[in-house]
Amino acid sequence: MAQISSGDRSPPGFLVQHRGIIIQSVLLLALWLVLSGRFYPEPILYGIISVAFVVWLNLGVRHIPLSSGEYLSGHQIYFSRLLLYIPWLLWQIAKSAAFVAYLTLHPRMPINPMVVTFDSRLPNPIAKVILGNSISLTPGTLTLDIHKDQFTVHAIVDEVEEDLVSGDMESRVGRLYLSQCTPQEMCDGVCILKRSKEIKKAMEHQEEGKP
Amino acid sequence: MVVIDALAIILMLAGAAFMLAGSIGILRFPDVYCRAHAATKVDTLGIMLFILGLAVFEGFNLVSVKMLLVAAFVALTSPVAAHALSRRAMLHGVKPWTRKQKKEG
Repeated sequence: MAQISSGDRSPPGFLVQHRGIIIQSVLLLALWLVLSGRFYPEPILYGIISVAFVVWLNLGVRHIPLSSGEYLSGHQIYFSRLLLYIPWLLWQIAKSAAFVAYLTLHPRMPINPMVVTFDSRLPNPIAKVILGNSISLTPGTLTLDIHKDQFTVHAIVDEVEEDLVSGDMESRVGRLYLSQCTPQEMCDGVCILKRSKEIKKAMEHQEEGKP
Repeated sequence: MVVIDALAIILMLAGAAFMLAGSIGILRFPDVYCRAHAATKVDTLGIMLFILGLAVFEGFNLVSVKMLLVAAFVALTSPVAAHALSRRAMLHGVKPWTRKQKKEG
């Protein structure tokens, strides 16, 4: 797996080191308060106890390897960049829904589906999950499979495939974890399959890769 | 109050229109992958607009915050559901419909 150096960072202090746990507890407590809706000391005390229990249960999760042998720990997300990424994603959802609704209601239904595979160089599994979800939510594309570094994506018309292989979204996701990255270095091995025979071949190849 | 009601009605009508478009898409598109496109994106925006309209109608209180939570969870889970469906379809060898194939055959 290609690792890209994440730049120099100062040695983490206590707040930075346990940032994941702190954010998790704050979010869980906020969820408890919203769902319970009672702001007296007693329910809040129960909430704090439950949140502490859940956070304690989740402590070990980061150190259990995934089926691919990767770990979830050891990566710090840039929280400020995540806050900028979410509005962009909401805008993409609106655009893509309008686009697919247009395709649906068009009398001749101008679709030309194809399957695109490419290799991504995102640094960790969570970044890949974010990218997969974002691909599914952006106009005209749907993540079919992620196997190691290879993404298999279904695109519904010709134009969207150019956006996909330009690496723009990969670099946006990559910037959540890396201090800097450019579209060119994030995405390679692009393969566009328009004919059914090629797609079938690629699928058989995928099946061989499975355990 | 009239402005807020009008805004809520517009949002809910837009949401219902998108839901309708998504349902038509599920019926019209040729294969499982294209139908997953319609079901994921259009319906996600439809549900989100509808819930946003209800939240605007309700005003800012606990109920509307809960509704916004529902909208956020729908936005998180619907691409995962579509991915799970289409990945299963791919592993079982469902071939994507292509326009070229039609012309050649």
